[in-house]
Amino acid sequence: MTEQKPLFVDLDGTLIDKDLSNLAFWDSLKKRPILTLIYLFFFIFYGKSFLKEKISKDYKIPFDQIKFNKSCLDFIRNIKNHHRAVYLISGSHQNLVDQLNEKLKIFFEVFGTKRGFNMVGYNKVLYITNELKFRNFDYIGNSKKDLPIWNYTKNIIYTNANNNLLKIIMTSSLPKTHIESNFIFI
Amino acid sequence: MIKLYKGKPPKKEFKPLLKYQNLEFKKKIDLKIINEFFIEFPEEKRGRKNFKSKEILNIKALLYNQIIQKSKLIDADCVVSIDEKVVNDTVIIQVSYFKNND
Repeated sequence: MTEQKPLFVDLDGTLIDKDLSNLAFWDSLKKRPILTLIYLFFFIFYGKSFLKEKISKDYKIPFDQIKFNKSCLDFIRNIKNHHRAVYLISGSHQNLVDQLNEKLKIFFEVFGTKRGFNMVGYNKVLYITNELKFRNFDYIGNSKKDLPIWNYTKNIIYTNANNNLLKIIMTSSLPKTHIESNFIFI
Repeated sequence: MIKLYKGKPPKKEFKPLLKYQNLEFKKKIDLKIINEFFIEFPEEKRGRKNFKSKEILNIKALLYNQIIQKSKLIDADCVVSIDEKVVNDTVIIQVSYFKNND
């Protein structure tokens, strides 16, 4: 890891134990069931980013119900101490990642799903390389969807991985860094 | 405190906020009120010149106020003014925002 390389951190499952989009969806379904079902219908035509935008619009993250990965936060703090920029990049909508950034205040910038662009899997690589113009970066993730990103970065930094992902990671020849998953309320 | 730079800020101190690079702030120059005033009170116009350039200065001040407000909103530490221009009676100020990484 060179000094100048920025670090990108995934959110759902990596930094927090829950999926914010799922929470927002169930909240929306509870508060506005008919409207949410209409959104679901339009989701077929307009895609996931449309649905995420609609369900996240008025959602306030219940921070008291969310556990944070302390080991991951420590890792980020250590990276920051080496004057490297740390960015949050997540498939959750921009509204939600902005709220999280307000709470944590440790990220240099946060990037989430926007209208017409679902920030998941290889889309993250496309966004980082084409929009943010970073060719060299590190990435912390926790799911199979992050494999194309690690293939690009040539460095696997993982936490809270399930058995299936662990098997894939173990068979990979890429350098690996494991961060213990230690979820706590903060 | 927000720092303002005309050129590039010190690389060691500030990193660019990637979402907020080369943003344009625009405002149209409106001389309608001044012109109407001088039509009504032509004697006031004596000795007063360069109304348009003064209006441009006023608009620039308003735009810079907007730029600073925006920097507070996005938690930026440094604003770099890249370009100021007047095109078709519109004042355009192009800026980039930077942040301290410490």
